[in-house]
Amino acid sequence: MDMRSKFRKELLIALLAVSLVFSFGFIAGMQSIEAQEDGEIAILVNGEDVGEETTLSLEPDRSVRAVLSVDLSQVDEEITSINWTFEDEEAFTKNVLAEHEAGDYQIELTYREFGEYEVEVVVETEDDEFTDSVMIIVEEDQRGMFLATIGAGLAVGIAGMGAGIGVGIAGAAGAGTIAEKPDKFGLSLVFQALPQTQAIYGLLVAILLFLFTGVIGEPGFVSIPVGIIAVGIGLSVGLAGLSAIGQGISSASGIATVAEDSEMFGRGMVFSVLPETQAIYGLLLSILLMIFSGLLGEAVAIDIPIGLVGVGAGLSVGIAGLSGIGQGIAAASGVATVAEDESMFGRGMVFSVLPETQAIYGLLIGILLIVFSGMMGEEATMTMGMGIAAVGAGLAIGIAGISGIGQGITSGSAIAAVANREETFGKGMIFSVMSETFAIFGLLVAILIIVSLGFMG
Amino acid sequence: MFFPKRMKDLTILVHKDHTQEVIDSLQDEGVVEIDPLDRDEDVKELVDEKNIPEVVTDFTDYEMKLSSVLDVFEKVEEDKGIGIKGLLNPEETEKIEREKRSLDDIFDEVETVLKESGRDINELNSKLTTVEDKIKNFKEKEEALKTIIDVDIELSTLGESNFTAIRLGKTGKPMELKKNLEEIEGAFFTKTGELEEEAIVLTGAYLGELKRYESALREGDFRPFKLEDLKGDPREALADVKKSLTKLKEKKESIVNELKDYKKGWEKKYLVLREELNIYRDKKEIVQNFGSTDKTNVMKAWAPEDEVDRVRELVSESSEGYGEIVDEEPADPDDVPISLENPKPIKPFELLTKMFAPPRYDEVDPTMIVAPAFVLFFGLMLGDLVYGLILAGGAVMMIKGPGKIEEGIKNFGWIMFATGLSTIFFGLLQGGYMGPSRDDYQNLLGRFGVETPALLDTLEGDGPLILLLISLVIGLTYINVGLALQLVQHLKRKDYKRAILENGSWWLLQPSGFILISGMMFGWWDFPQMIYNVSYVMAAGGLGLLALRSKGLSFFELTGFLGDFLSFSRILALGLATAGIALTVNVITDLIAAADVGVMIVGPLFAIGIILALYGHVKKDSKMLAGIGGFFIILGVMGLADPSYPFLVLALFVFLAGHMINLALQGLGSFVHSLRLQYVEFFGYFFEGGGKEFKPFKFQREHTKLKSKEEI
Repeated sequence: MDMRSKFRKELLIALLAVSLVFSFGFIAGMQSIEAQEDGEIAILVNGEDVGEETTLSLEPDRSVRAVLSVDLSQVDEEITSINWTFEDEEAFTKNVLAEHEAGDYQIELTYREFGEYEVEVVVETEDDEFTDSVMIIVEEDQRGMFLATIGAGLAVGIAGMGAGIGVGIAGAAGAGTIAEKPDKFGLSLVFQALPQTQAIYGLLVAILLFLFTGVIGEPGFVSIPVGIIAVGIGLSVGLAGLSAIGQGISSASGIATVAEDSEMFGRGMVFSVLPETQAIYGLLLSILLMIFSGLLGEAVAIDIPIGLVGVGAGLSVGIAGLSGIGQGIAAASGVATVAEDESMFGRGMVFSVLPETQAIYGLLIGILLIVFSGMMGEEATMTMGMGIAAVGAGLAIGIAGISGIGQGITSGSAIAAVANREETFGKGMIFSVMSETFAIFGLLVAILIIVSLGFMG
Repeated sequence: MFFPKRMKDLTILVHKDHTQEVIDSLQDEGVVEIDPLDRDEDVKELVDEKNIPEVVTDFTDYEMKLSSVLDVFEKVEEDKGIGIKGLLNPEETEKIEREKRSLDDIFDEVETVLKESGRDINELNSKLTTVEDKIKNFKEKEEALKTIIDVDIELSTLGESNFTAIRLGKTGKPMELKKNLEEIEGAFFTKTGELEEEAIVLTGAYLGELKRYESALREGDFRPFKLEDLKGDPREALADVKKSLTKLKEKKESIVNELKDYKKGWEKKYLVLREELNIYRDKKEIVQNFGSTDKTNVMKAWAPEDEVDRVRELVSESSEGYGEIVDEEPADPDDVPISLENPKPIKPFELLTKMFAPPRYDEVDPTMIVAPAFVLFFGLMLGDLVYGLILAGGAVMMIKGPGKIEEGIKNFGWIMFATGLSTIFFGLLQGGYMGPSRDDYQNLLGRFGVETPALLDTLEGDGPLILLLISLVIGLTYINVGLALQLVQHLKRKDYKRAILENGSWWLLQPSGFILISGMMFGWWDFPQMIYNVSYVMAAGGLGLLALRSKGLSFFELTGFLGDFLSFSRILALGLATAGIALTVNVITDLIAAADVGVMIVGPLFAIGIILALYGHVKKDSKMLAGIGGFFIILGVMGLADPSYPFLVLALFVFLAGHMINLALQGLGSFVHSLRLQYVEFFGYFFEGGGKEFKPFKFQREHTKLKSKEEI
């Protein structure tokens, strides 16, 4: 149809929608006014006439208080009795605040479980009887749950990406190996399994987040700040899972070596597993964040700045986990070298773990952030600015941690050099350690942020 | 125990006429390692000449003949079906008792044996090879014929006759081939059929043009079928070929059976004789290491300190007094071969130490400490009672089965058993029984209604933090054990300077660092000012020593130490991962079990089942597919009774499979990471390795055993 009539059609639809909205709103509004018709009584919750129902959120200490009273202003006659009836007497504790000669006038109810509870009051005068009821809905603060699901997605998604690429690299080596030596299939498969663990950690954290926030099973306390921490949790284990790429590189080297010499299996495995440290730190920090955010264990009340600290800590460990790629490159060289010269095992390992320091810096800053932000239960005032600064600190050391890739490349080369000429050990170390200076810059900046912004009390 | 076995450097002197007996008895006893004489300059000067082993040609000759017969036996090896049973319970090789004989006696016996059986066996073998070749040939013909089964051609016309050459084959470029052939006078090209997108063509040419014909065929991507000496059309020829094949196969079988009979009767004899020859060859070759004077042979050897007297006895007895040994302390620790001695339960763990490197002679043998530490770390990381039971059970099967004949497997089995026990213990502690204890998403015992309390639950409340603390404390302790061993090493080498610089710096820095960081920086507890002052001094001292030692790299030493310390947190991380993934499996199990699609599920189940069963049975002749199909049908039937049953079965399957995968993955991870903590964070402080292993002069008899002296 032509533009004109199309426009007319759309206009009609828009008008229809608007009028629908208005009528709903009108009816809803009428509902609330309905309660207050002349001569009638009304139940007030926390001083307000809430109409038919009201929703309260459980506090972190798993309780919520509501003060109920009766608005008797519209009643002229003398009141003979006031009678309250409550649904499910077990769900709350009652505390009478004020009494009327005819009955309880003002009561405080403390609910401890979520659910829907109806409260009814009957006020009798000589000639009349008035009633009103209100439905009190007690729920968990779950506003942060959608953030937690984002965290879970990050955890399993990014980690899965890392594992997929790593396993792919290893698998390519495996396929190439069995073309020459089909009997090495089993050994190759074992090596290929090594980078898979990162994805499992990601899945694990995702499921734990689901369990603790109530996506699966019973609802948990997830305020928005807790949800923000959940994003940090996801980033921590997810980004650190990219270390699987490094593990894939080292496993590939392991496969190629074992194909030539199956005695190298044990040592090849030990090298191949070195890049997993980063993923373990990521998992560790995720768990620590879960503990201190109250997701695991008792719920705690935290505010948004502390939530941002969680994100900063997660970025700190997570992004620094990319140093695992450097470790993988170095370890790959290590495996190959040890196959030629058994005595290089110890020194090969020393070089291979050099890029791990970046990950340690990341973990260190992550832990410092957690400790100094007061997340560990101590009272500390955190402003929004400090929260954002925490993210900055995390980025500083995290992104600087990627320098581990450079360090890994150097270390890998140094291993080969030392195998060739023993005397180059010291100088090789100096070459390898150069890249680390930039990580140290990042560490310094992160510490400066923590210190100067008054984190440390 | 904490150091490799103490060795003595031996010089053995024997009169030339008695050397052979001494060699014999040394080899039988197998307690000395005989090295080339050159390693001792002093002794080397004393001797006149180096010994050259007699080249006994008969040796290699006989050995080859025996080996070739044994190879034939191997070819006709019956398929014992190495199933699980064979793997778990291998037969032990029987050892035949033999008397000590002279080389000539052995040679005579070999000759007899070869005459009686060797010739016949070899004849049978060549017959077998011929038959096998023919079978291969005919099989090729069979394949080729199958591809042209419908082509109408008289096969005897193929090949070269007096005037023509005719070939039948296939090509991917029929057009090009046709064009090429058309250029040759008298050549022809006919397409007779198609095979997998290639054309089957019949070509021919006059013999005079053979060269051009063949090059045209090559360019045309022509690949001939191998069909010489066949008659009739392909269908008839195929029947003939099949008949011939059957006959050939029968012939092969009868030859093989004959060989099998020979094998049964003779194989052991051949193995025994070959082994005896090899024993003699070793004896001949060891002579390379000797030096000699006019009447004496001189050899350099190593023996463990506590065996020296025994060796002396042996030498003097076997040489009837014409031999003597001189024992001395090793001059250079780098030369000494390494033999580890550890108590019996620890010995299997030497495997782990040696995998890194055998210790040097003057170095600590860390196995005594590595063994319990490794087992401890592993248990903490895997912490599940059921997993531990499976590990321990598997280990027992390994030890009692393949471990009986292979020492390496037996040692590994013991390690696995110890780690299994540790896992059981910590599983009890952590409340892991295929998953942590919970009210929902229960672990194995929980599903049967058994409550499984945990002293230290990895996933609840304070558990993770406490475990983290335990891991870090273990880590700090272990690192300091490493430092202590480092100190021991420095003291042994009388390197006091390094002892102070290295151990001094860390032992000053650790307590002072702890006090300053936890007290002042974190504010966890309040120390009196005096303690802080002392700490400042200690810290300064420690840093000073560190700077003296490492200068520019000092900062990296600090981060290195911190890194080693934090690295132990992986104990918690892995323990948590095991419990967490087990929990995940339980969650998924419950989710599946609770699925309720109603009676609708029956339809799809039957459908899948019937399709798979039929497909497997009819099309692919695959029993497995048909079996799976049958399984689905059974699920469908169960679904008729109650729609939730199929899901329960699936849930059970997921439960078992998931936990097995978790056990495998986490078991591997725990093994490797526990090991890595030893290699990187522990050995780094005191262990270099690089010793060479002690290889005694001994022949590991497999098929024979020597009649003991009393019986002779």
